[in-house]
Amino acid sequence: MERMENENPDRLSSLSDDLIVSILSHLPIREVAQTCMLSKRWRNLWAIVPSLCFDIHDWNVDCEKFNDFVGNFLLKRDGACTDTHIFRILCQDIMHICDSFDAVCSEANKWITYAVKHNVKILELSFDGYCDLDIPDCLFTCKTLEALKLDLYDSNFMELIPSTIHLPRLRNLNLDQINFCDDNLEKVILGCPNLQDLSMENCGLNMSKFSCHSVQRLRLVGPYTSNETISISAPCVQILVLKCHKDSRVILKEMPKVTQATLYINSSKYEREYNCHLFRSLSGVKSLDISSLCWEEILIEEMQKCPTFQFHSLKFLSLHWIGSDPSGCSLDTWSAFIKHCPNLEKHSLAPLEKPCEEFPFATIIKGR
Amino acid sequence: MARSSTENMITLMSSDGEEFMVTEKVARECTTIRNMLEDDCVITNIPLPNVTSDILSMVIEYCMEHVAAAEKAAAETAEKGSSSAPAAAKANKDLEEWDKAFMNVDVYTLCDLILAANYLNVSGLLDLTIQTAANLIKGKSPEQIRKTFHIQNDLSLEEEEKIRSQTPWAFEKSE
Repeated sequence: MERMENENPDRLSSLSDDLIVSILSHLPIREVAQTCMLSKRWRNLWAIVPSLCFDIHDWNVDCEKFNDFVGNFLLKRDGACTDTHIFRILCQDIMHICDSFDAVCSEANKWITYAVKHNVKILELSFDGYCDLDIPDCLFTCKTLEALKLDLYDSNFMELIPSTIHLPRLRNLNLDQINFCDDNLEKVILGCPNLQDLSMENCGLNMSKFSCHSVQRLRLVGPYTSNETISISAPCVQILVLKCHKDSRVILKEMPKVTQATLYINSSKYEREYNCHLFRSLSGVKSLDISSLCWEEILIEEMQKCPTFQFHSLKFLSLHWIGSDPSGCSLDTWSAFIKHCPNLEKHSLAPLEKPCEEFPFATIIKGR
Repeated sequence: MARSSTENMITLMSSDGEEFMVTEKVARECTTIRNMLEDDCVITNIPLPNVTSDILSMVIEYCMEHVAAAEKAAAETAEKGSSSAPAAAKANKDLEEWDKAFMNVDVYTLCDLILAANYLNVSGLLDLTIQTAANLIKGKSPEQIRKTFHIQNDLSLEEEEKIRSQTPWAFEKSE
């Protein structure tokens, strides 16, 4: 690493291909392509960048130019035979702006096929608007895929699911705004034997039950349910985030392995049949965080249901109340509940500062 | 940095022969050195023929800061339990600020740090330096990038023209 005698040595170009490509992975894709003009050294480096993110907003939602760029970029790259480990297509917030968006949606099929052919590990498809995205069947049998994020607002996703789903390496599945009914969701989950992280946000879950046996981290935010209740069986979950809408009734089957649970219960009617034995399902929890409008009702209900139940493992309990300050009578409920937690090390009762606070969730889908 | 007398000390020797005494914990931040220590646990003197003394001292400074931050965070968690999120967020922010100030270097030093972080396998420093280099490229025209990094344009006008005509889509401006 002796500094060259040359007054202005070009250190950057003398880095290895791998290091330059790592730097390029952090740039917007257009700028990546434009580095081919820098010098002979840089002529073909853009074509071996393993992380690609195409965001239509980088083209000011000009669908024609976006299509042209992505199509040509992938065509030129195809010869380089390099793996594409991270592949993202972002087409969000473009409803009613773009007439030729249908063209993007139909081209996307080819782009996804390209990613699958080039051993994609992390794939994100974020589309919205009432689009007719056509997902190729090969995505659902991709052997290299480790993380998949699908945000398909109001799409016909259920019609896109092929009869065979086999994603042997998929560990992280992140679904946003996708409607499922009957056994569709289970079909997807059964095709992912090594699924560890499952996150579903604002998905329609129109079934009476579903199970996911390998999942260790489950995040369920605002599911929409048409059924009276939905019962979830996830016996291996260790970290649980459950944030329900007012009218989604989620019943948790026993989750003895849960050590950390964050519950946001936004129902003002905490009924006897709703979430029966919620706390007993989480009997092994070490750290419990509850945010609720009706926390007092929940605690009273739970204590009535199982008067002798104790949270033996619970060490950290925090309760965030929403709405009016707890009165003296609520504080009595709180103290009574604390008695059910013999090994508590730390507890707190505080107002929820940000009602829409997003709870942390382990994910390997990072920013660009 | 406070050192307990029981802690193992390792001597790292730069390419220009300068010696740096560091705790084993700091040295272990470099995966390359950690692997050497695991293969041969009595090793105390490690020559690093690919790293100059000025760059090695910076790498050590980075590792010491990050070890100290991790120790502080661990001590706080043990003391207060897991739910001290605001304190952890502040500590993270402080460390980020430190990283940012640490990256206030010229492009030669930056590239040497990338090479050293890659050779010694210090993943945090590698990510930081790579990101910093990317930030120096971002938003610049090819001419500006060449100027920043002193890249010699060895393409002839004809070659440049050929690239432009073969890849017009890459240079298309969006309105």
